[in-house]
Amino acid sequence: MPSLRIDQSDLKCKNGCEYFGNPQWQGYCSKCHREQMIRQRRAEKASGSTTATLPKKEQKKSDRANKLNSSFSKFEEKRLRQSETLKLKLSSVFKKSSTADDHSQSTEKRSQEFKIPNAVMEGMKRDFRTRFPTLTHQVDHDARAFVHSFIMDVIKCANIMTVDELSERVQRQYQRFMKHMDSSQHFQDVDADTKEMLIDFVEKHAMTYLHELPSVVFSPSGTEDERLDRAMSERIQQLAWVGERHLDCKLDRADPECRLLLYKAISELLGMDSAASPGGKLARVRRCCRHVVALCGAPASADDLLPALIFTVLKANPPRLVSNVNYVTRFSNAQRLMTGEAGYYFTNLCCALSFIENLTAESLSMDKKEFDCYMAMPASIGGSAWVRRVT
Amino acid sequence: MSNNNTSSGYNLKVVLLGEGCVGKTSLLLRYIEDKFNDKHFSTLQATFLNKKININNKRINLAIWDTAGQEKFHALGPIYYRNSNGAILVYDITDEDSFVKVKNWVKELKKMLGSDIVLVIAGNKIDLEHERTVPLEEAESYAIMVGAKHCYTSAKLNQGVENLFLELTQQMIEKHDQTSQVGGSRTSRVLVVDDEIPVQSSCCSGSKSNH
Repeated sequence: MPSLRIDQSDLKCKNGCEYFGNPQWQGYCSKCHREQMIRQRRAEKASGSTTATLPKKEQKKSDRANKLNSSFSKFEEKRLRQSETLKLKLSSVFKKSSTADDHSQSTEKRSQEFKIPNAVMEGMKRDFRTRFPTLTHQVDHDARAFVHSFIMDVIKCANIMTVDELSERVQRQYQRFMKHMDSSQHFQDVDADTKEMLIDFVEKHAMTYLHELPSVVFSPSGTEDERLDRAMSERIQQLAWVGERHLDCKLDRADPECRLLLYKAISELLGMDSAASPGGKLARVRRCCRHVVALCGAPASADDLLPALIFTVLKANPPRLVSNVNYVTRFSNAQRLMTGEAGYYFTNLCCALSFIENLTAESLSMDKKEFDCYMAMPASIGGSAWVRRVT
Repeated sequence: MSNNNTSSGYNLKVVLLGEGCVGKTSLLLRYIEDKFNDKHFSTLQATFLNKKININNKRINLAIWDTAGQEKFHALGPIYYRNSNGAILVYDITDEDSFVKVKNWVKELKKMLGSDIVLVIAGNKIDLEHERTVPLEEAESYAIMVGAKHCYTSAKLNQGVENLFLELTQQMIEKHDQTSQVGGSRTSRVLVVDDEIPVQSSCCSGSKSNH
């Protein structure tokens, strides 16, 4: 969970006017930000250039990223721009249109622009029919109507809520749907297992759509998720030398079957990033851990699973790991995370992350000097070449 | 955030805590295997178990999670026991250190979760009674002191295992019903609020008009 870290400079508008700034408005107050955006758009039109002038803070950020990886910074720039346009769109949808400026005319147009695309709704209809062919039309209608109001509600709230509030709100949506199923007559004949599948259906479709919108639910603006992703990735790179013996895993290097299982586990973990819904990401984690369990030999215990999973995470270095984990924690149905197989494995993944973050010489039962020596090594030289050597 | 009381019954989560080698995993394995024994089910993992049981006509989904017991993973405890309804604290009756560990866990759980969590302390390996080093009276009086149930088990001889889980489940149901009635639990607090929260419309437009 992000900490509340506020600098004095973050509080006031960057323009130096009396009002408070807001990170979502790039540190300006609402008025200055709006003016800035208008200026920007005019300048864009005038010059015909497609690149938006990034406000100072963001420029610095992408400069730093530039040093790390130029292609990544391009991607990030694009993302920032996207999220900016989206914010504009969203804020113009939901703010009162009474403000008289050159904007007001386009506001009307924009509010119509923002609709969940028909293709999404149609896709959901088809999916419902294939997954629940026996359920009544009313159940179908209720479920889809709920997804619609769910998405609109989250979009409405995303701009004015902190991520924790938003997460709580989403959890309440799940609970509301559960309550609706318990009380509505339409769901009288639906058994408990199917109800759980219906919750999954709602989660899948609502979150898959929201996941596509930049900075709303995945790496939401106002959180440190993106920075932490990079920090985690660098940390794992730096720990490339950590081998199975440091973690006391019982893995057999020489055994081809063991290596195959490790590759499978790694590839599932890498696939986590490409799944859109929390359920989809959890399914990847579950499949990954099943391979890891097999890797430990039957019957595997928790004492074996965790070190082997840590090893797998270190070898995989999955992209945007922190963002992915936070996204699942915040927006997947909390009940599933508390029980279920996927919930258990996901908890182990969280443990692995926490262990990697806080790892010291002691936790690897190593000499402090030796540990420091390894850590000082450039990442490219270190590396137990477990994966590379055998390929 | 946990919503335990749905139409499908109770959802209860239990964590197994204790030092490595005290037999946490064996206990769980024994509990899993007993259920599946006649089906010739070969157990692939003994890390967690989801079990549906019926007690007094109540449908219960029991989720039992084993935790890594190595000392270096001790700090990860809170991630495991978050939102748990019960904890089984296992020690080895022939190993005094493991009983000290149990005391540490009890302290930590009380501090972090208060009395929301049902605790059961399990003295495992009673088949090695002649090698016992943890005095019987000490363990039992400690359990009473902290308000935990004390059980003796032998995963090896399959003694007391079924009883351990049953005992814990019954206590968790009691606790759960109590807190629901009182209405002060976090469960109901989350459930009460289900209508629309008015959107703060003043957020954007308010500051604007100040200019």
